[in-house]
Amino acid sequence: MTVILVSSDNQDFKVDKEVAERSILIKNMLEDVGESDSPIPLPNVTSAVLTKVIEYCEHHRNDPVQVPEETDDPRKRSNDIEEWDMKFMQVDQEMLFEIILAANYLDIKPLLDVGCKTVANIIKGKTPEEIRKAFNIVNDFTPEEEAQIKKENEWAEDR
Amino acid sequence: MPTMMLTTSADNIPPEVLERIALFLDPHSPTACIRVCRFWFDCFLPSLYHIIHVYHFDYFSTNQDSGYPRRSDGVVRTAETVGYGGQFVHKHGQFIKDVTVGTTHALKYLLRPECVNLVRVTTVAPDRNVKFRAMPRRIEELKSWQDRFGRDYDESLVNQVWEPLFAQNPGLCRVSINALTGRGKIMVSMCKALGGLAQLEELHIKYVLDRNVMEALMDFCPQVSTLTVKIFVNIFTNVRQDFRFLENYAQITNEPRTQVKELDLFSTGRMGIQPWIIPILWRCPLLERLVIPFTVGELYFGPIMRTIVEHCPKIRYLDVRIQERFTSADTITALGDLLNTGCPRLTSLRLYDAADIFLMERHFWNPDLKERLEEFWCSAGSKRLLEREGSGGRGWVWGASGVSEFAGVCDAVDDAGCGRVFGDGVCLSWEGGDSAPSTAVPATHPSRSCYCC
Repeated sequence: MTVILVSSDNQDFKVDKEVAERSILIKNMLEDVGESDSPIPLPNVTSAVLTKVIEYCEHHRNDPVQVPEETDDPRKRSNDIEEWDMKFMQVDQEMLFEIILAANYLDIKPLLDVGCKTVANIIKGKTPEEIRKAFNIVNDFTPEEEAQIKKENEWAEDR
Repeated sequence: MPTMMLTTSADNIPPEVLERIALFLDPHSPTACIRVCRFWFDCFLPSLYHIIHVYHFDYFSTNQDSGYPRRSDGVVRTAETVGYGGQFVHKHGQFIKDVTVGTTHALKYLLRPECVNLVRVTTVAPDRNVKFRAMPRRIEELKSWQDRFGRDYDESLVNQVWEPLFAQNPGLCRVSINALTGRGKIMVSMCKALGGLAQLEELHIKYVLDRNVMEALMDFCPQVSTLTVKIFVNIFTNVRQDFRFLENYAQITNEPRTQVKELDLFSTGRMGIQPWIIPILWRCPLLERLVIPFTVGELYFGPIMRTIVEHCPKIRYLDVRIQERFTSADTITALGDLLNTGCPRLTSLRLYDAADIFLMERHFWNPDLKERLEEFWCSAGSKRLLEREGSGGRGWVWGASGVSEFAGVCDAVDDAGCGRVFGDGVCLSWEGGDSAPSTAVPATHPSRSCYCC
């Protein structure tokens, strides 16, 4: 059985139901409407991003459903990205964030996590200035404010 | 060219995505992230404060300029001004969930109206294995610090620190206490303070020095479901009645039952016969996981096993350590009862013996017991795990296909039945479930192949 997904720029994507259901959002939608051939509009996702997302879901179609693990330490490792996923994430930064936002919107946890890990790996070991440069972020702190934040919160850092 | 995707507002990227990214960062990165811009400050601050691990907030304060403490007791003595560590601990206190400190006194800094979301509090005595972010290194430094702020066994700490801390943190349900400096009376009043708290789920007490404390825990904190008691063998005493024989224990049957599901009586060394374990087991009808300290002599092994069969029908995981051989008729019968009839839910059994009695070539092997152990394994398919470990570094592992001998030691096993054996250049690992034991390769296997490393 197949489903038709419609991107924000009105392109149709025909995918297997099993693949589409990697997205919890689509899964719930399909469950709500029941048997229906009507296409599913995804107004927040462009066709370029949707192509990537479907590529991911195709590759991971047989993965077991992730069980959220309850641990005391919420911090997770970011060095356990699979090789295929690593290659998949070798895209420009705009696409990287488009994929993350799409994964967030479509509720595809594993894809969201791979995206977040990729961003976390970019951030690691960088100074605030290097982070701003890497992501083109405007510093809206005054130098005094920034120094104050450093002073107040430095002690909390896990050395 | 980088784009403007992560810029300054939630229009571009939802805060929850940045918060998720924060989960994957190393502990050092959040300090840099909060200085990037205002939006990032809000998103990354919670992860910076989520887990705090500090010897003493004041000690940090006096040394904040150099980053690391200057390691001199002079600093401690002259520290009259409260600096950044102590002054600002409360500022973002609502984000602190898990805090580990060196002394109970340090917890006073968390008695501010902002710190209301604590879930876990741990006090740990400084030693070589515990790494704090700031900690006095030399012993005289530590002493002058203690003289300044009082010692940990001050009884007033219970009502000055612990009671208000619980009162203002309704979510605080996991507590680990180092009891090394808190002897008898203070620990008992501590237990009383903990006892009124329906919220308390996990209680870990390190270095319990006398049996009264254990019984006080049972008496005052029946609501706790996980109880870990690390016993400091060298100075552990049975203060109340130095030695009670089993017959005397048999008369105590009316003590109130507890909700304990996990009981870990870990000891730092081998203990003498421990009859007091039996009445404690009586009081834990819901017990699922039990670790018994390394016991010398098997006199009480049989009675303990029978107590489990009779009073703890829900037992799932059992970890038994014994010094002597499992050879007496009583021991074998008791173990047999446990395996065959007593505890239908038992899925993991871990046996230690210091005498390597399971090794046939060196010691007597009881064929009946071996049969029962194999039966235990087979009776519920491959979902069960049985493991033993001896002092000689050789082990037996029971698999669905029967008993295989490995020249290796099981180094880890959990109650889900996942284990790993390291042998002679062969690494075996399997997980609970049907596929597991068939993939294990015996050490004598000619291929010496290994799929997991």
